[in-house]
Amino acid sequence: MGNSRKNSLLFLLLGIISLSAQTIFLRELMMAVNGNEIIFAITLSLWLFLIAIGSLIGNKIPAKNSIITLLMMSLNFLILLQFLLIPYLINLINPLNGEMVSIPILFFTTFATLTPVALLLGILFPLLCKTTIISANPIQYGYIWESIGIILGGIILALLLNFFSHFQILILLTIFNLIVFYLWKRRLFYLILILPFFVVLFFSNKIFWEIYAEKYEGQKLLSSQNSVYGRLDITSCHDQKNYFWNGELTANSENEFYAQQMTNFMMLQHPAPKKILMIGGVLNGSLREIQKYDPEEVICLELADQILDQLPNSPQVKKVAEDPLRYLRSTKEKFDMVICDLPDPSSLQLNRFYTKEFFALIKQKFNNEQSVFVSTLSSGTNFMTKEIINLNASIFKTLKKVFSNVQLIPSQKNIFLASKGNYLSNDPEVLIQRGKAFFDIWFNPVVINEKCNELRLENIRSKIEEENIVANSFALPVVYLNTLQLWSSKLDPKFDIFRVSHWKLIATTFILSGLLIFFLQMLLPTNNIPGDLGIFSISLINFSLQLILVNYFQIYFGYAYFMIIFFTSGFMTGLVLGFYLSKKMKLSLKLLFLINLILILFLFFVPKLPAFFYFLLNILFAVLEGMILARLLAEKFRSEKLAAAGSFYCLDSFGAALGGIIFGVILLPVLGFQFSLLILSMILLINIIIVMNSS
Amino acid sequence: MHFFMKKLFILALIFLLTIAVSSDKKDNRTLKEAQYYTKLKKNYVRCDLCPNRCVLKNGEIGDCGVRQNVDGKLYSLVYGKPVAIHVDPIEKKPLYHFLPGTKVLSLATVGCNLRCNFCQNWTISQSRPEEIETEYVAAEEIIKLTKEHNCESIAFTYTEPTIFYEYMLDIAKLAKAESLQTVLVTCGYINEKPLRKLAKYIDAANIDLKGYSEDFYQTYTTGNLQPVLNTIKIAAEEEMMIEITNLVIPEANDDPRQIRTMCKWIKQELGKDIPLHFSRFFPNYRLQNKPPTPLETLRNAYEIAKEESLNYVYIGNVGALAEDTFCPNCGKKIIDRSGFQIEEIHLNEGCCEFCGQKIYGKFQEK
Repeated sequence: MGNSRKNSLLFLLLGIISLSAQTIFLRELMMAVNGNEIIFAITLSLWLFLIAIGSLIGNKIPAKNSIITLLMMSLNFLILLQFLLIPYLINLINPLNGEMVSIPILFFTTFATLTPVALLLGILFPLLCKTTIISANPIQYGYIWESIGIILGGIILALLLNFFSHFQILILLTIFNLIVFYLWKRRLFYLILILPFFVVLFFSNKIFWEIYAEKYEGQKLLSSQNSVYGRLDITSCHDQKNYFWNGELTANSENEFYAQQMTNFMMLQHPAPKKILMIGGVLNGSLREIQKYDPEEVICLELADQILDQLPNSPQVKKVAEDPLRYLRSTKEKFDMVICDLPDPSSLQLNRFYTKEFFALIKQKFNNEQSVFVSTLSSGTNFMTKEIINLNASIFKTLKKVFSNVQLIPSQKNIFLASKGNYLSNDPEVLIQRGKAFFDIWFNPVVINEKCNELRLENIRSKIEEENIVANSFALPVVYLNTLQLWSSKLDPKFDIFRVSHWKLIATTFILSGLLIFFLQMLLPTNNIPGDLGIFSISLINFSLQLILVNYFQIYFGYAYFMIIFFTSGFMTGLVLGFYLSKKMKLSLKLLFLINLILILFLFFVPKLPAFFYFLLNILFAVLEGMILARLLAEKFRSEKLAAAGSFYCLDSFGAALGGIIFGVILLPVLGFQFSLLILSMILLINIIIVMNSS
Repeated sequence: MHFFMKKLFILALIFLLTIAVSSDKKDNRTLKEAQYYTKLKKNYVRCDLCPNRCVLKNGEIGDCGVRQNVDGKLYSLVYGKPVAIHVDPIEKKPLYHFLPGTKVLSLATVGCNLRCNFCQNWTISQSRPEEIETEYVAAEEIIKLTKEHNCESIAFTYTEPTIFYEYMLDIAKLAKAESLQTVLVTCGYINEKPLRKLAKYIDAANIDLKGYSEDFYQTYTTGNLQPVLNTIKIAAEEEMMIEITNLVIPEANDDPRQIRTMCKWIKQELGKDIPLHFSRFFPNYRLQNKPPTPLETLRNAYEIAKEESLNYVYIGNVGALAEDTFCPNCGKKIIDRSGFQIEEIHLNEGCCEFCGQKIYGKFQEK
C-alpha cells in the first residue's frame, strides 16, 4: 500500500476510533453517574485536554511504523479494557455503595477512564503527520482525513447503536481495526487475532451483564434497557423492586409512605378530578392513590416506554411515552389536574419542566377555572437551607408569573399547587373535612396537622415569598443553578464553586485559564504567538458555541445526548468543508471573524429555533472555523514545518477543552446563555484585534 | 508588540487576582460561654462535652461547627439561635410509651457532632451558624410557645442536641419549673458528666443506636459505637424513660447476626421492657442511591427482637407492619396506632386495662 493511501486510511481509522470511543465513553459515564450538562462538559473537556497533552508527547516521539503499529493496536485493547473498568472504577473510588458521586471522585473516575485512550489518540496524530510524505501540508492533509473519519464514525455509530450494545460496538471496532491492519501489513497474525474477539462478541452480553451487575451491591439486577433519553435499570432486593434512571434511584415499589403523604394532599385540591395527566412519578405508587378518587382517565406520561411497561394495565390508565413538552404542544386534550412529580431540575433537560414557558403551556391545557397544576420540589424536612430556599422561592415566583393562585404544602418534597380558581387550600381544617373518605395510615388528621401546622407554613411562606427572586425560564435557567448549588452543598460545602459571587468566579476562571495558556505557550516551540492564539481561541470560541447549541437543543427538545453524534459529525463536515472552501475562496481573516461574530449575535437575539437550524448553525460555525484554521495552519506550517503538527493539534484541542470548562461548566450555568454569548463575542473581538494587528 | 501584550496580560491577571481574593464580609455571632471544657497551654482549649473531645487553638471551631475557642475561652455560637421550631406528634420522635397522642414542641439549632451520610435532617446538622441568619429566641420564649401551641412537652431534636447543650439545659430547667415535660432525641454522643447533669431535667429520651458495630459507626457516621452504648446505660441509670431507634440501612447495618447481638445487649443491659424501633431507611443526604429498606428485612429484624424476648418492638416509617402496643402479659392490643395517629388506648394508670400488667413508660391519666 502506498504511503498516501496507507496514511489516509490510518487517519481515517483514527477519526473513527476517536469518535466512537469518545461517544461511547461519554454516554457510559453520563449514565453511570446520572450526569447533567456540567458533567458532560467536564468529561468532554477532560477528553480534549488529554488529547492536547498527548499531541505534545507525540511531537517528541520518533515517527516509526513499528511504533505507530504498536500504539494503534494498544489503542483498541485499551478502549475495551477501559470500558469494562468503568463500573469497577466507580465502585472502587466510591466505596460506599449508594453514596452520591462527588465532583473530585467524578473527576478522578473520568480521568482514570479516559486518560490512556485519549493520550494515545493525541500521540498518534503528530506521529502519523510526520510519516506522511506526500502532501504539501501533511498536517492539513491529516486533519482533513481524520475529520472525514470522525464523520464516517458518526454515521456508522448511529447505525450500529440501533442493533448493538456499546460493548459490542467496541468489539466490532477492534475487529475492523485488525482487518485494516491485515490489509496494510498482509500478515496472517492480524486475521488470527480476530478470532478471539469473535468469541468475546458472542458472549459479550453475558460478560457485560456480569460486570455491570457489580454496580448494584446487595441487589439483583433484573433488567437494563436503553432509550434515547437514558437507561432504566430495574433491581430487586427481597420483594422490593428498585428503579434506577441513568444510574439514579428514582422510585421503588412498596412505598405507600411516600405515595399516601404526597398524593392525597394533591387530589383534594379539585372538587372532582376526572381527567388527570401525570408527568413522571408513575412508579412511586401515586397512581394507586389517585385511583381511589375514581377518575375517568389518567394519562401517564413518561419519557421512555420501558418505564410505562412496569405499570399494570387498567382501562382508566392511558400510557404515553413522549417528551412532556412535545406532548403538551401537540395534544388537544384538556385536564382537571396535571401532576408533575419529577426529580429536581439538576439538568437542563429537567429544568424545562420548571420554567414559565412550561407552566404557561400547562395552563392552556386546563379544563376550566378549577383545574389544578401540581409540582414537587426538594425540601428540608424541618429546615430549609439557603440553597433550598432559593430553589423553592424561584419556583414559587415562576408559578406566580403564570397562575393567579399558588399555594404550598410542606412535605418530604414540597408540594406546589397552582390554579386560576380559588379552590386550593393548605388549611388543615379544610383538608381534614375534604379528605375524610380517604384517611389511611399515612394520611389522616394527625399527618395533615403536622404538615400544615401554622408554624411550619408561616416559616416557609416568609422565606419563599421574596420579591427579588428571578423567575425561571428557558433562556435564564436560574432553578437549574439553584439545584446545582444544592447538589454541591450536599457533596462538600467547602468545595462549592456555585456559591461564590459571580464576579469572583469569572475572575478566578480567567486567571486559571490565563496561567494555563501562559504555561502552554512555554511548552510550545513557537515564534508566532498571535497566530497560535488565533488557533487556540477560534477552537475555544467555536467549541463553546457548539456546547451552547447543544444546551439550547437540550432546553427546547430534551434529547441532545442522543443527537450528540449528529452534532459532532455535522461539525466535522463543516470543518472539512471550511478547509476545502479556504482554497477556493480567498476571504480575508477579518471578514471570516466578522461573519462569526454576526452569527453569535444572531444566536444572542434569536435563541429559539426549529431543530433543523441548530444543525445548520452548528455546520456554519464549523465551516468558519475550518476556513480560519486552514489559513492559520498554513502560516504555522510555513514557519515551523512538521514540528507544527503536535502544537497545532494541541492548541486546537486545548482551546476546545478550555472552552468546555469555562463556558460549559462555569459561565453557562452561572450566568445563563445571553451573558455567556456576550463574553464569547468579546473574546472574539479581542481575537480579531490581536490576529489582525499581527498579520 | 509582544512586550506590550505580555505587560497587558500580566496587568489583567493582577486585576483579576485582586477580585478573586477579596474576602467575604464576616458576620457577627452571638457568643455564650460554654460549659464543660478545659483550658490548656497557649490559649488552647479542649471541649469535654462529647466524645470527640476537640482540642482547639484560638479561633478554631470544633467538629460540631458550633463551639469556638475565642482567646482561650470556649463559646457556644448557637445559644438562643434555634433554626427549627415545629409542633410534632410525639409519635414522630418516635416515642410510643411517652404521653401517646400528645403534641410536642420540637426545636433544634444548626450543627452536629456526627457526620452521618444518610442524615434525614442534614439541612440542620450540616449547616453552620455563620451561614444562617437567625433571630435570638430566649429560653422563656420557648416555654411561652409551648404553652401557646398546647404542647405537653418540649423536644430537643432533629440534630444532635448535645451541641446546643447550654441552651437546652436552660430551657429544660425552665420547663421543669413550669411543669412541662422534656424530651431528648439524641444519637447518644455525649460525655458522662454533662449527661448526668442534663438527665435531672429530662423526662424521656429516644436514643439512636444506629448500628451495632464500630465499623458501621466509623464508616457511615464518623463516630464510635462505645460512647453511644455508655450513654444509653447512663440514661437508664438516671431513670429517664428511654426508647431506642435503629435505622436499618440495606447492606450497611442489616446483618441479622448484628441485629441479634444488639437485641441481646439491650435485654441484658437495660431489660426487655425497653421499646425498640426498627426504622425504615429512605435515601437521604449523600446516601441517595441506596434503595429504601425492603419490608422483608424489617420483618426479619422484628422477628429477631421478638425471639430475644424484647417486649415492645416496633417498625417505623412503613404501613401497618408493627405499630401497635401489645400487653406483654395477656397479649391484648393496648395502644392502637395508625401512623402517628392514636385510635385507641386501653391503659389504666399505666397498667393494661385487661390484666393490670404495668406497662413501661409514662402515660396520661384517664
